[in-house]
Amino acid sequence: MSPSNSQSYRDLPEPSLRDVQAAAEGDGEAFRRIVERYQGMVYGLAYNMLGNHVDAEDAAQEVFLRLHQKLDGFHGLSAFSTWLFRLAVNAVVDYQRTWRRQAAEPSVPEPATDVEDEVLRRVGYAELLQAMGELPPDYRLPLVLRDVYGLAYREISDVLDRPLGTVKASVHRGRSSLRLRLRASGAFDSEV
Amino acid sequence: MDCVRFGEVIQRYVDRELEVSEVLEFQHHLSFCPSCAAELDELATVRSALAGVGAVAIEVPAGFSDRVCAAAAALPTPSPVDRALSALTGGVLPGRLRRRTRHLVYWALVIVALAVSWQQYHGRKTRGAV
Repeated sequence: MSPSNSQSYRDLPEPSLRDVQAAAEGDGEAFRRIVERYQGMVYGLAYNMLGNHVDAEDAAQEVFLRLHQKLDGFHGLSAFSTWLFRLAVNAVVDYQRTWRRQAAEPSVPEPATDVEDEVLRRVGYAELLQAMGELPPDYRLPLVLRDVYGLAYREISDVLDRPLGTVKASVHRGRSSLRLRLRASGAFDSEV
Repeated sequence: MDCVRFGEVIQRYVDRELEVSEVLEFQHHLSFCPSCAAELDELATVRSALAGVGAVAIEVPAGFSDRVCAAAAALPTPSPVDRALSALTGGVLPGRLRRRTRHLVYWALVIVALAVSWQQYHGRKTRGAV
């Protein structure tokens, strides 16, 4: 699994192998340093996949609890952030299957820093997140994994346990649905 | 030309999944179809904006790391099967595969234990007969 476009965590410094080993052996302070370094990435991933803060916090906590149990499975064969990203995607998908709140209202967060992406600024970050929050989870999850995190369709099919054709159709419908919602909100008006 | 049949093609064009011949046919269609050209432009904008979403840092709720660390400290120690599974698989199997693999590892251990017990019992019986 190779996330391609989430600079915010790919640029994060790797934890020391000593910290990873110490945390795996039960050192609470070493585990805290790992949590504090990666909580932004994990929380952002959970929020983008689930669309509301209540589920995002529960799912992000679930990711770190799973990490705590699995740290001895990290052998340093890939970057820690890539390994954690994969673990987090699986944990959030499992969370969504088990606990998703059907009636949860989408809630749009304030970005912690200014939105730098030019296209995103033009379309409107809040408008896009609002529109994403209104998508059914069957469309939202594959669309986020594909277009936000750049996963290949085959990887999404594996992680969601859905046929490849269904995943592609869900991404296409999700994109079209977002386009229509953004068009209705006037997000494309300034382009002409 | 019938725009309906290009509905799926536009998406695959955005995904860069078209064959060269399909790209040429679609680009020819775009040259005289402002409706498809506008749809393509908007879909490409949506895709590009979504790519920017992952790079936006979202504020983490206050006290999150404290709650996580307290919950982790209260966790029971993983079972030997789970530790072995985690070490073997790198700990990142999706839930469905993880459950199946855990069952496989469990039953493999049971079968090995039974086989070893049977072999020891059979060995003792054979030595006793000699």
